[in-house]
Amino acid sequence: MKNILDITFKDLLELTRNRMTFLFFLIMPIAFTLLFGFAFSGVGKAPEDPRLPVGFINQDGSQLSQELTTLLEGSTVFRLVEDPETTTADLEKQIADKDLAAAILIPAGYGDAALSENPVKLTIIIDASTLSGMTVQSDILMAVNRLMNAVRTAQIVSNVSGDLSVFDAAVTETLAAWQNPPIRVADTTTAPVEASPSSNAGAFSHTAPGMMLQFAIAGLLTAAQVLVTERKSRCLQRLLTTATSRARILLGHYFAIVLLLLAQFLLLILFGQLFLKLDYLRQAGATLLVALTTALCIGALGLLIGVLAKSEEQAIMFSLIPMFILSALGGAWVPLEITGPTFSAIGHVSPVAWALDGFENIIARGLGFSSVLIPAAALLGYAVLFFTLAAWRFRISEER
Amino acid sequence: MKILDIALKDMTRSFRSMFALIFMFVIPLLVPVMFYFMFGNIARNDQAFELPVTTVVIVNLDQGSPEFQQAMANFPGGMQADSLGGLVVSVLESQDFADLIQVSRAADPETARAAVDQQQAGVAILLPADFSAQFSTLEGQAVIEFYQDPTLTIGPGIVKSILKQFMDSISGAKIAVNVTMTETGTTDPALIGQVVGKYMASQPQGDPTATLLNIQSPVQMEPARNPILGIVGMVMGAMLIFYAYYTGVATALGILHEDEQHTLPRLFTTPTSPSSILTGKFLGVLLTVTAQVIILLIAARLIFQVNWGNWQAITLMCACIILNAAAFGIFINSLLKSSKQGGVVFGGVLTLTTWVGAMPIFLGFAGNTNPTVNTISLTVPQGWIVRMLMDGANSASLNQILFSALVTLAWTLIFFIVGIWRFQRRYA
Repeated sequence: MKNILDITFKDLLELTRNRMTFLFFLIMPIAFTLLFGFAFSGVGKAPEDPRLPVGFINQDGSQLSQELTTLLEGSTVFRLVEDPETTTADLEKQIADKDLAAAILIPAGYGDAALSENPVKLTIIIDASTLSGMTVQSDILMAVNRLMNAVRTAQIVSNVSGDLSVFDAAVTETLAAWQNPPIRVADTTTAPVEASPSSNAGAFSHTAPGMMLQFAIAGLLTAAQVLVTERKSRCLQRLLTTATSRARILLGHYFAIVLLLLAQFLLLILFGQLFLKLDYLRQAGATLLVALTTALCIGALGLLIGVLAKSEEQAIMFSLIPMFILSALGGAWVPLEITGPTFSAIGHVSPVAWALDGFENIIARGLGFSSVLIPAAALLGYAVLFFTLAAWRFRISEER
Repeated sequence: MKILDIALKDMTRSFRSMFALIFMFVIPLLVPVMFYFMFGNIARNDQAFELPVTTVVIVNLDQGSPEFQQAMANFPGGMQADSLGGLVVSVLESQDFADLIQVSRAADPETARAAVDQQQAGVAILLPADFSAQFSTLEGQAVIEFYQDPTLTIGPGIVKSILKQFMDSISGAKIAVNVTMTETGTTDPALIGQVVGKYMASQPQGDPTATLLNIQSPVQMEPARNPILGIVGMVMGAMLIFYAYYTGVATALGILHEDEQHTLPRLFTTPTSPSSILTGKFLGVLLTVTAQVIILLIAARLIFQVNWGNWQAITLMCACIILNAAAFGIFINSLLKSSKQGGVVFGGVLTLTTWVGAMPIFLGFAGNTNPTVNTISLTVPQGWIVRMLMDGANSASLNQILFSALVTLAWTLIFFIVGIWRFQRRYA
């Protein structure tokens, strides 16, 4: 055991003396988490109203167009941006420049036509191929639908009662009823997430663990280089002439990488907890289990890379190419939800996807310890696979 | 001639290294390939937007109510159900939405919530026992619980949109009844049935979007462009910029390598002036980056059909990338004491400056149009090149691109002068 620990401490000393280790293991993941979090959270936008800006022109002065404006103003998805000087061409340019998510134009005569057999359609200018465009369109449709329902209801009431004077009151009453509709859809999610609205789950819960995992793999280049240097300097060959077995040498190197990764994870988890408001410590045991099994898995991959690489350059290549492939495939860059069905289905071939599941189950889904058992088991399986391959390759390598 | 010899020797050395070739060509093409497959759902067969299928688990505990059944008797054909919950289930299970949602049923809310927690479903829709009863009473409000995986956005959004649209049509009928009762004072079941019938008959047939909305695309946006090619084109552009700078720095690192291997001091003992040697080194970097940029541009065009914009814009952008990357390589290496510091430069300075510069591209993917980020990206030369790339893709005028080009060239000049000055001082 002492032999193993000696090798482990030697490796750790060597790694912590290398500035690259800190760069890849700490500085880069923090920098990229902030960059991506900034991008995906929309930090810096007007905090008083995070709704999507939608240009608005009302060319119709009718009561119904005013009612429609009120309905549109009540949207939780978008906010109306009205400027009397703006023309349709201006709005189109602003949408093309992505300054506006869409534009709504109530054409002249809209209110009168709504009462007739042939109502005029509401004009919306939108890039319907984008997610924000689709969301805005859906909400506009809901508002228009409610207005038209109010008109139809008022027409029916007038017709049934035989009293045309009740029309306006019926419209007003119908629209007022939509403030508290007969059927309500209540959004719920896991209890811990609902209980802690202050948590920053939406903004960083994906990017923080994603970047942590990506740079854990990237950082393997320094760990793998230790093995390469040891082999190139013939230190490994000399070590093999001693009473220390191959298995102990391998375990010594493996423990060093695992300890380094675990330290990286714990520091970044602490950073996430303190500065990004990600509640890792709500389930500290679960977080530790995922961090440990991920470190065991990525550490075994690092060992395999170190055993396979014949030069420092190969160690860099063998680390960075898996980093790109495993991170992208596992959803570290873009959540698997928005990737294609095939990509999404094969995403869990990457251990990064399992590790992300584990961390997201804790910080985003607010689930308990049992939710990380399957991801942890999968990561452990990968660790065994990578370690076995590394041991096999080491056994048949030239150092025999 | 000696300058050219040095330049060609350095270039040959770069292209003989498998390591360099992988970083110059394989990785810059690998990343867009990953993005191509990642966003494969966005556009297939040119323009079709393929939405993800969301797994929905429904728990229908609704016990119905006599009032609801009586009200349903007044509905025109096709909407018959024992309870409102049954009606919701039948709509969600209908073939109309089979392409968007995959419905399964659960016996109790706990099982349904567990299915969402275990990621076997994206959404659980829970219909309570008094769902119909609440809906049928005059002041009652029926509540559907919509339990969703908090990490999902698109799928649950679509399901909720479908659900709300249907609920609005049912709610509209009840509101019509309530308003009639208030305005006329009637409680006559026959009259109420008549109101419901008329209301349902007045609902527009077919797709409500087509009936109520006139949807126009902004004319100033480039029409009919495959969005995935836009995404891949931008990612390819970002990779082209990053790896051109990587090559610039890596090739210029050869100066330090030669110094450490003592071949450079030996070269200084020959009748070749230090300025000729440094010019040759710079030319070597320039030629290597030029070859890389041209090959990547052609590969991106052939593999991903990337439309780089008009030829004047792309030529200008490429010239700026090549010159700036080469000068940046000379500048950065002039600051290093030894080649061992190269790793920190590749990993830190190069990665951070390029990613800061490329932020507008990734912000664009995230739908973030924050102008502050665009301004921050312009603090590094890569940001100006990214701006040229994006302007070129948006068919901006040559004048707009020219300004970014001038700023990039100013950066180039500074890098070149400082870099060469420092090297000359070191090897004086």
